Amino acid sequence: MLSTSIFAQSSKKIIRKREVPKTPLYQGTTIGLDLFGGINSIFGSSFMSTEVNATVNLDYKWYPVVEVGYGTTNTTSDDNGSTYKTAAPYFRVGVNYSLTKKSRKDSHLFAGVRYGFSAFSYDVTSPDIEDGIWKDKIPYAHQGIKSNAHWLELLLGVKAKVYKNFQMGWTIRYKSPLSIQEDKFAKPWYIPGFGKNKSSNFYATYSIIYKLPF
Amino acid sequence: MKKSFIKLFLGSFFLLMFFCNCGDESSIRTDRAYAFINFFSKETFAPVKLTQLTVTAANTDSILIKEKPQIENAKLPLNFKAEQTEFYFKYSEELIDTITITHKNHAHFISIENGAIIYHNIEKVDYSTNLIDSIAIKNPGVTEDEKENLQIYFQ
Repeated sequence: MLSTSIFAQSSKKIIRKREVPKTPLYQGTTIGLDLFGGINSIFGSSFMSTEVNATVNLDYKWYPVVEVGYGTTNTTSDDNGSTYKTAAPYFRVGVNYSLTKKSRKDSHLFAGVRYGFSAFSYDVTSPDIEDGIWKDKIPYAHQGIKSNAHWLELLLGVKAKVYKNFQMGWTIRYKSPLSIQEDKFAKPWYIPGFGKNKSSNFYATYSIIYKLPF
Repeated sequence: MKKSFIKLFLGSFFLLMFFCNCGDESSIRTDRAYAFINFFSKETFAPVKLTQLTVTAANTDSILIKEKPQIENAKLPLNFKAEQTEFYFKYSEELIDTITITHKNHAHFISIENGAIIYHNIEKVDYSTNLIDSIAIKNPGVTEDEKENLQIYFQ
């Protein structure tokens, strides 16, 4: 009887429910400072911008992000003497998605999307507009022209942990305008946060990032 | 893994710097806005080519189009200050039409590369009917966008 009972027990499959430890959804917040705008202007760009961002880590998969920046330009054309001046803040909100499989590290590759917005005013001047046929000259200067712009961004980025709570990261971005307000007397040439007024723009960011201790 | 990731990061960053400083794409330069006019036959409503055409601007020495053969369209400047521009369309020594375009003008800044140019808004077109049958305003806004503004129907 006893040997039959032992045999019956050992042949049974012992199924134990494996307990997976539950990890919290919230995995921390980082704040970053973009340096690319400043570096780019040192290398000769007509535009200067800087921005800060805050990113929330949700289970190392989704990363909602808010970016606030300030863009400015005061440009004079070497060819014709036209000038364009503006300085204004811009805002972006969006989300990143980690492309690094099953990684719970702070270094990863990611893709993301942003909605951007800026409301700004600008000053423009142009040399007298000369009519070579009817021999007239028309002066041109306008200050404080108001405008606003909305746009979408698609991006790829990399973030790497360098030391303790410090990280570095960059993104490359494709920007597409949704709407750009024009005035009767001018079209905005540079839009803070978006760049030149074109059908699309490529841009980059390079950030120093700090992971908050909570 | 961590070191290779940092190397990838730094290497790609410098590549990025090069990419983003490659310089801007060149812009098409625009000196002024032109009215674009296409020619049609009144009978067939199909595009038509004139045997020869010379266009001059009234009260100027400017010959805008000089004895051009087989011409099916014209690109004409409008006066920056005055609100009327008059043209002479000369088909031969004996056959000439006059076209008077009434328009409003305002300056418009395009870009740093182009500065500002004058935009026009066509309000009315008056014409003689020696060879011209009628003129239709298709798009009254004359800007740097090369859109058709007028259609001339010839007899």
